[in-house]
Amino acid sequence: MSAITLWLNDQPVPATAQTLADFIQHYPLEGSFVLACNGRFISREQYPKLMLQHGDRLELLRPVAGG
Amino acid sequence: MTALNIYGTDLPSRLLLGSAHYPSLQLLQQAIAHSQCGALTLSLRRQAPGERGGEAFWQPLRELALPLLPNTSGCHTVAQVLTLAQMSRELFGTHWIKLELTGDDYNLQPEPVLLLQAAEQLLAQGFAVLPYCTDDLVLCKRLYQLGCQVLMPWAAPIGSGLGVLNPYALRTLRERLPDATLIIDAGLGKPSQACQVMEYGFDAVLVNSAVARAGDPVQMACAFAKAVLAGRQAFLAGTMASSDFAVPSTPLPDTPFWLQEPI
Repeated sequence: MSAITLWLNDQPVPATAQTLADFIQHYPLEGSFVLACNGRFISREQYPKLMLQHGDRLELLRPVAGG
Repeated sequence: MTALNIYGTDLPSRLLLGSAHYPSLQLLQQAIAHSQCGALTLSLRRQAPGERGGEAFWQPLRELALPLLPNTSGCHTVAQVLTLAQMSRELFGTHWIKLELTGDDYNLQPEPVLLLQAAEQLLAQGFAVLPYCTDDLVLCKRLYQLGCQVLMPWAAPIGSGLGVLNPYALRTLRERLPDATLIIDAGLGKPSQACQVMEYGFDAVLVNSAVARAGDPVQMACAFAKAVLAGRQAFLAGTMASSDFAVPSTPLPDTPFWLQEPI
């Protein structure tokens, strides 16, 4: 598969993964996190089904302190 | 004294703590432990290098098995709120959400119209919504009528430490919404102010900056816990009616005759 460019928290990331699950496995993304793609929440159940497209914008969030 | 019940869950304390701005994670943990707070707020963000967050922050708090109240801080639109709330539900494993939707970046005042829209949609998606709101009576009534069982009105803007800016508005809220669970969320700077709102009959208090930015956060957390308890006991006991004239504490009938001349 040819490489596509994803945007992860506004940073360009080259990727060959077809699905979000593949991308997470190969990037790799560890620890506790949640993802949104193009502004929409993506649950973990959806990771294997979500087909990535060139230019997709992924938002990766982690727990932080808050009031 | 009955426990505070939030959407069917009894909390061990009527003091809730925010987790931001502590000098260290250890001090946050000690403040939680020593105050025996009822719940802890936290959030989701991109984790910038050097920022307190991620596993080092999350795992120790997770092990406390404390009720967690994730917020939607930083959101300015309904869409942002919905996405962040859904992400929080998955990561933190709770359907509780402290709904924050900022309408002005100067005083971080909630946007009332969008707040109602966001609350309605979150409730429809099965969230237990705790909206951070102003002390506006009509806004609070609308939020409650939508199905928000718990409301979190401010006493003053977030992080200001100004204390109760509008006692009339807060007392009116309590009076007009007797069945709502009302938690003062923002603006308290001192334990005496927490005691004040608990004396009004508010159900709980959430503090963050007042504890985290104190000279000794652990001592301050304990002080707030005691103030909240004292205020609650005073409310349940029923405070005396005040009067504009003095009422002698010592009975007059047996006053010696030479002291009975009026002044």
